[in-house]
Amino acid sequence: MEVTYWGFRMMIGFGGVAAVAALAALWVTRRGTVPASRGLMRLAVFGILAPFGANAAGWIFTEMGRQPFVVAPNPDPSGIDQVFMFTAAAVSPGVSAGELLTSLIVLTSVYAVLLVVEVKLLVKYIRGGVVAAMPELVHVPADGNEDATPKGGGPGKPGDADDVLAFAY
Amino acid sequence: MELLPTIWFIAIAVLWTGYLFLEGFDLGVGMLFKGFARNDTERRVLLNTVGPVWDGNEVWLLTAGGATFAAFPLWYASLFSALYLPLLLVLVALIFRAVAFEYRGKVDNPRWRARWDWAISLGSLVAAFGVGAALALTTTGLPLNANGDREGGPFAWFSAYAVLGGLAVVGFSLLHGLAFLALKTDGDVRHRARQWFVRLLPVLLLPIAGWAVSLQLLSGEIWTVLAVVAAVVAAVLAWNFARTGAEGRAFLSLGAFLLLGSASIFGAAFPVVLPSTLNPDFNLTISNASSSDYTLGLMTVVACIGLPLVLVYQAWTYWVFRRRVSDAHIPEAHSFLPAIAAKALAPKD
Repeated sequence: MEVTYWGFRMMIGFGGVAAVAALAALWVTRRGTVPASRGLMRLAVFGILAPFGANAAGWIFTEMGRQPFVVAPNPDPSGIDQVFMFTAAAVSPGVSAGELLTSLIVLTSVYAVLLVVEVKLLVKYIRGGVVAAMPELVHVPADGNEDATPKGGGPGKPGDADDVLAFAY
Repeated sequence: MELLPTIWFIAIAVLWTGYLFLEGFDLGVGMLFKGFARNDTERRVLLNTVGPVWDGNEVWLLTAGGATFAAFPLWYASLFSALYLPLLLVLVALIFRAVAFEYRGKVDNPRWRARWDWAISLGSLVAAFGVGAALALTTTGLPLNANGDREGGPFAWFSAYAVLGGLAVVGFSLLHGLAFLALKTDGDVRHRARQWFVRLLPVLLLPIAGWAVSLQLLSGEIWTVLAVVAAVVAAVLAWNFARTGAEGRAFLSLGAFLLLGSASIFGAAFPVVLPSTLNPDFNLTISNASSSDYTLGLMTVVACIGLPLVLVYQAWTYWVFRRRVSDAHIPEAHSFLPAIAAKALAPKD
């Protein structure tokens, strides 16, 4: 009960924080500029965690909240039917515990590896600053110094008549 | 004959065919990252031909699985439980392939790119093989008991048909990928893809033809045998169109081959959705594995509204990205270094 009680509040809370942060970010960047405040930037980095917090709390809330049913029954059992789908009855009899353990270990390892890669990339991009994530923000100086644009120029430049890719991998 | 289960059997056959037609070429292009592409620019040409569309194509796999789950829950349960480990492998392959598409260009370093190139080509290969094996087994059978549960342990599914089906989808996807590259790129990649297509067509279509023919021997009917013959004609047409440089027609003929081949396979399997190799009495059919008519009726209404919408927006995606891609369209690789950022953010005068 405590888990579902707090799980729901954490989901809504983190979701609210993320929404407020998004509105705040829209407000401070309304002139198309990036705020220089260090405190605000630090807060923005922590803001990355809010949707993940809401997501995790929400899943734990639903998955634990519906036990012992795999699908929660009608709120009024005397209403439409008398069907109760218990989790214990939903276990596949043909799948062995070894297989389940294998999938649990494999998927956890895959996500662990991807977490490391993702965090490393995030750190790299955060260190690179706003331009690293949005090279199109860089203005090419009028004297035509092509080196200033990280996109490298060439026919792939945005706005070029020969540009067939809105975004190149 | 039950009408709604038959409609949904056809719908699922159509979803699988659509999946193989669409994701077939992006799996093939993924596999061609190794062996076909000669340098990094060519690999980026390959990546950019499928980049805007591959994830839309993959949704057809989810839809095929989801439709099976909703329309034939017993088919879904027996198939996915019996193939627990191979489908886990397919899932892992699809995960690595998907992130590799996005991560590959995020660090400008040859070792980094080489690692994700392997993830793309191996991920595509394993996913194609696994999907093919699962599809072949659902037509030729698994060791299922009266309850629809697998007998014989986690690897009881392994059989010659699993290998044949795996090779069938790998071979078809490679050929379809070559046809797509010939249609979608320009320059050396385009011509080499066409050359490979003409040269490899007989070999790459052999396993899928073997699967279709062996199913005719097991449970074929006159019209499904005729479909196999028509599919062979379509393959010959595709070969001839490619040889004479009509890349669009070659691609469409190969699509017709898939449609006819798939019709011959699903048609021969009907009305059984998953045979039991232990006892024909345990076969799952469209009657004993389907949901209630109420569920199927509701699904039919939803599908009639949803499917046209999906087809329209997916067609629109292909229209937006209809131009050929070549080396010239690939911008230089760039590395996001703090130094570049500092230079760019320096006050402008």
